[in-house]
Amino acid sequence: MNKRGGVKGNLKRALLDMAPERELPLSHLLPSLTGRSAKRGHRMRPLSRLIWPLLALLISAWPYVSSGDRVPPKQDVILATTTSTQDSGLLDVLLPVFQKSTGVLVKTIAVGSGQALALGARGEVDVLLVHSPREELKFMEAGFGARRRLVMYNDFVLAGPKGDPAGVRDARSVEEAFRKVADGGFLFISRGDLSGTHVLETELWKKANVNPHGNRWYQESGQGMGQTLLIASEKGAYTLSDRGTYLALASKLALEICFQGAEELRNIYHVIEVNCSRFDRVNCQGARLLADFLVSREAQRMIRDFGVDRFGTPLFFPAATEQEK
Amino acid sequence: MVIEESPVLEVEGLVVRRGRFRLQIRRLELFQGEILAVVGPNGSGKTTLLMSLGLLLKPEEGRVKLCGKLTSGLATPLELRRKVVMVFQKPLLLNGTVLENVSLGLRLRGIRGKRSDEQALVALEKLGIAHLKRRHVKGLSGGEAQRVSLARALAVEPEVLLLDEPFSSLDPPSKDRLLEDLDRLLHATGTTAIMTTHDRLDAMSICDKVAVMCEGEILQMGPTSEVVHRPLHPFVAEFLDLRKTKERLTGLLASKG
Amino acid sequence: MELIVEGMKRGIGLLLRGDREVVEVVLLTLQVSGTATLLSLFFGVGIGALVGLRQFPGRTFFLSIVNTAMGLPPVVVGLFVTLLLWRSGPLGALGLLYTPTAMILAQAIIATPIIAGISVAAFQSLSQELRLQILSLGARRRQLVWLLIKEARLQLLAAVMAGFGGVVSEVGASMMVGGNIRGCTRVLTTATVMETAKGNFELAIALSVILLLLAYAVTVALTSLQQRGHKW
Repeated sequence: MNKRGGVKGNLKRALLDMAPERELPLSHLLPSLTGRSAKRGHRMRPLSRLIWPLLALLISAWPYVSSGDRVPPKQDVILATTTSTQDSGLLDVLLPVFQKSTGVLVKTIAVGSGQALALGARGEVDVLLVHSPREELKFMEAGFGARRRLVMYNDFVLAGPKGDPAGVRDARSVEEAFRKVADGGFLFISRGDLSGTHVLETELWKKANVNPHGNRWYQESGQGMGQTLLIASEKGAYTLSDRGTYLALASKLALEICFQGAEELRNIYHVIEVNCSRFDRVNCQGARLLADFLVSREAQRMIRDFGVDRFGTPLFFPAATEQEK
Repeated sequence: MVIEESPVLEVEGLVVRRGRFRLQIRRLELFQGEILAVVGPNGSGKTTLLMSLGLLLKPEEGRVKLCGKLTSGLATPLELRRKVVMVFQKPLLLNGTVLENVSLGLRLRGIRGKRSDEQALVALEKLGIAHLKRRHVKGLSGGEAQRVSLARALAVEPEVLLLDEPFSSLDPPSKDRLLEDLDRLLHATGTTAIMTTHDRLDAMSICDKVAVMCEGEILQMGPTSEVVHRPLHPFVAEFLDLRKTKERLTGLLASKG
Repeated sequence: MELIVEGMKRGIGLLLRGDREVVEVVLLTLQVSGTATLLSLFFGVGIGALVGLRQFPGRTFFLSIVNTAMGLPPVVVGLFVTLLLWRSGPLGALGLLYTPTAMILAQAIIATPIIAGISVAAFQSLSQELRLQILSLGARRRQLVWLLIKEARLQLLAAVMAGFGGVVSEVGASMMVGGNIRGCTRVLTTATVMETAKGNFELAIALSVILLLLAYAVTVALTSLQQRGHKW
């Protein structure tokens, strides 16, 4: 808190310096107010009046007092991952186990893959758990990442309005499926946020030789997967989604899976440790510990079992032992 | 044997500027126990003079000495500054009860609790409004509020009391009553006081000395009777002339029987 | 409609049961917004006294900046604070990003102009002569300021309520500088947005209800403080 006081205190002093006592027409009638520091806690105030501010201070200080396992910032690891990964709930299962065994606090921020990579490229985060392979390779080539390892995979599905008006189901390839949507001018909602999902979607449009931009049927939500699915459901549109988020929301959606299973729809997750020789504030040790944990047998087992009880099928497939394709 | 008494308030070569207005006082002296009336038309600088003497203004030139010590407006050491209290034209009471208001000056000086209440009560009694002590200020009449304001000033027993047009917001009967009470009070406690007013009759009835102001200067100052009967300036003569008032009063009494 | 009712029931249920995560989030909300409001009160009323009680060159200009800042978009504040606190930023060495402290800082920046703007008006509305009268009665400067604060209590407390209301309800800055990290920087607003995005509407409504109750409780306390002893 002192640091803040310092910055603002200087501002305060600057303000006071800005207004010296001058002999302006009315100014010599007005008291000059300097030395505000004595404003509070004045002996004239009866004790009862102090109760409210004291109470307020107490309430605001409580969490600091109550939490026992606070780790000093140096040991925190900042993990940037995607909203879909976090929303799946997988990390809520994995991270506590990690934290208990290593004592390292993981701060997870859920942003799009695009933002995660951008943050990593600035050294603002320590570890990335993302699923945007092409961008990841660029990232590694630029030297921002120290190590990149495969963690797990699942797949994307093309969801659409019940009844599949575009007849996407009959497509023989992903490109054909996309072309059917475009040719028929069926509403398509894109993430539009440079997330892993969005980047894949862009690649698929390219493969299908279609430029969807500028068309009335192509809309960008700029939001997370869950939101985008809900929008698609509301509007009766098609959208590309990871299976996990789709399953989690299925009961609330008026959509159905129209196309799935193609090779291109594979969704591969890697863990990248940010290059600490490049940025001096990155927590190397913590990053390595976390990355090692994610590919460890224990974690991989948890990944394999995750979601089975809720959805009947696992949401992710452990892949740490598999080779890169 | 002549005892050299030094004036309680002493002003020399005072110049105060306020916008286009300029107050200029060459010399002013006030001794312990004297009550001075400062009279003059509106805009003649009465309030400005009072504020300078109340140490709320710092003069551009000249000196104001209180109890023999040099002052410098609000920068005057607190101990000295607290010897003079000014009461403004409007009561300017703070939110709260009458007692809270009257004991304000005492509390500012570190006197609290029972002691301040007692001293405040004494002041209230002097002004005959002790019965109002628990009343909230919002329910007071103009006259009552003005008395509270005065009690507030008297409670701290100042060396010098400055009153800026204390009767201007009062109706004539209230004014007469307050005038009487003040007269008695000030003379009883021997407080040195300066009162501004544009009503010469007020001035002349309770004040020992009178100063007539016009356009930022004191035209004449001296014992009341002297100034009234031997005016040195036509303006003074005209301002203090009560003949017309006397004629009107006589005429009125005659016609109404 | 029934979604709202269900949500309300769930919200109250969560509170009564003392659900650990919810309680954590509520307390953090109180702590962050409460501290931010206290800080803003200090600086805001200070600026109010400085600007509202005296004349100085450039005063109107300065005041117009303060008044404009009252409407600063919280998201913009969040972005700028993030830039400051980034590891690569000027204050990066402090390691404050994604901590409650950063959220308090951002919220204080949002609330201070609000409180300051209203305070300036509050102090300015006090008569000049009142100040002189109080000084004449022998007040030290800080005694004067304290008395004026008491005189302007109605408006000043309104300012505090406006400041608190503004920050307890904001989500943009809190999300950006806090990161909505579970058990660390998750407050009611960011949690509500997250649950909505996940499609958990009932939970989102429950959290909103809790937030409203919280804001109401604090405001009731402040309002009674404001109105205490006011004579009609």
